[in-house]
Amino acid sequence: MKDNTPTPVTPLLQDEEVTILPPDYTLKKAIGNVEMSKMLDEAVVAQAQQNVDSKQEDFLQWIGEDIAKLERAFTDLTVKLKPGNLHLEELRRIAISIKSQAGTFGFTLASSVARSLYTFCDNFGFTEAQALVLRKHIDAIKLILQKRITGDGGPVGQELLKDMAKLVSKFR
Amino acid sequence: MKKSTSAPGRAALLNIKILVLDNDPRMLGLVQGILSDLGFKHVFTGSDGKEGLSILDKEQVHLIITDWTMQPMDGIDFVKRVRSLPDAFYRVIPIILLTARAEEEDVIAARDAGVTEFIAKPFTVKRLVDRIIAVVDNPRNFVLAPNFRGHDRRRRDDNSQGGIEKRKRRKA
Repeated sequence: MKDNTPTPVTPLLQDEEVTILPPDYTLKKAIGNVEMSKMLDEAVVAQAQQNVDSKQEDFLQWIGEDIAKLERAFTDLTVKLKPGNLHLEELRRIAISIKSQAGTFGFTLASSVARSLYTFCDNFGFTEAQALVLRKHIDAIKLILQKRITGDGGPVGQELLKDMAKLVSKFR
Repeated sequence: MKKSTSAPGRAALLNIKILVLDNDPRMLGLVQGILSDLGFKHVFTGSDGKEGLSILDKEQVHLIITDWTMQPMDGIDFVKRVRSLPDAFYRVIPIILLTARAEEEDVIAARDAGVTEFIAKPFTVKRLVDRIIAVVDNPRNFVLAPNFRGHDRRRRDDNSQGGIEKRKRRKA
């Protein structure tokens, strides 16, 4: 039930343009004025992170659906490679989704490649050569997830990111 | 993994109500699961800003965690609407933006819209917890100005420019 009866607050400053209110301690009071940092200690955080990490297989299933959508968007984009093709935005949106999820489940390298993919979409010029760059990104993401390469992929992962950056820089 | 026995009574976390918004049900489920593992059992969820406002109309929440890219109302529009609500309780509510959009201009836009804390996806549990601890244990002043409504954007406790007193002296 909502009860938002405001507690009177004395501003630290109030003039004709600006009002500055002191910090609000509603949240702190709700937990009995205990330090939140003590309630959410290392052990609690570690357990919660472990639970996230245990969902890696679930993630690989979800991401399979996103990869399929990415492939469809790429096909639809390249069938009619012209400015205004809305499938570019679709592709970009899915790349952002992959970037946001992959690293959360330990696939940091896949997130990095997905980031490179969606930022490349921002300056996409609808040429065959640039479509090939999109293709290489998609293939890299698929391979990383297929091989379950977690973390930054070590020296091989770093080499991959350098190659992607070199490829992308040709079109700046 | 052993649960921490030294953490102060975490039962108090049951007093906290959190609103989480994300258009991806998988992400929503993930964040809700993490919060539950941390001890926050009262979590309301929605898939965009409009749903968020509707929940705020009915429920009293203490903290908001929202994505950016949602439709029909995205996270930034939602934040601006919350900061303009007539309800003084919600105007100053801490809002954490959890988003894949993490370029410098995105962070600036989010900060200027009134977001309290910013987390880039992919994220770790620790990063989320650090932001929750920040808003609970170290709440900041709240600024109401013609072109900005939100928690003090300055992070450093630095009064070298004179702070509020300088403004008071100027106006006097």
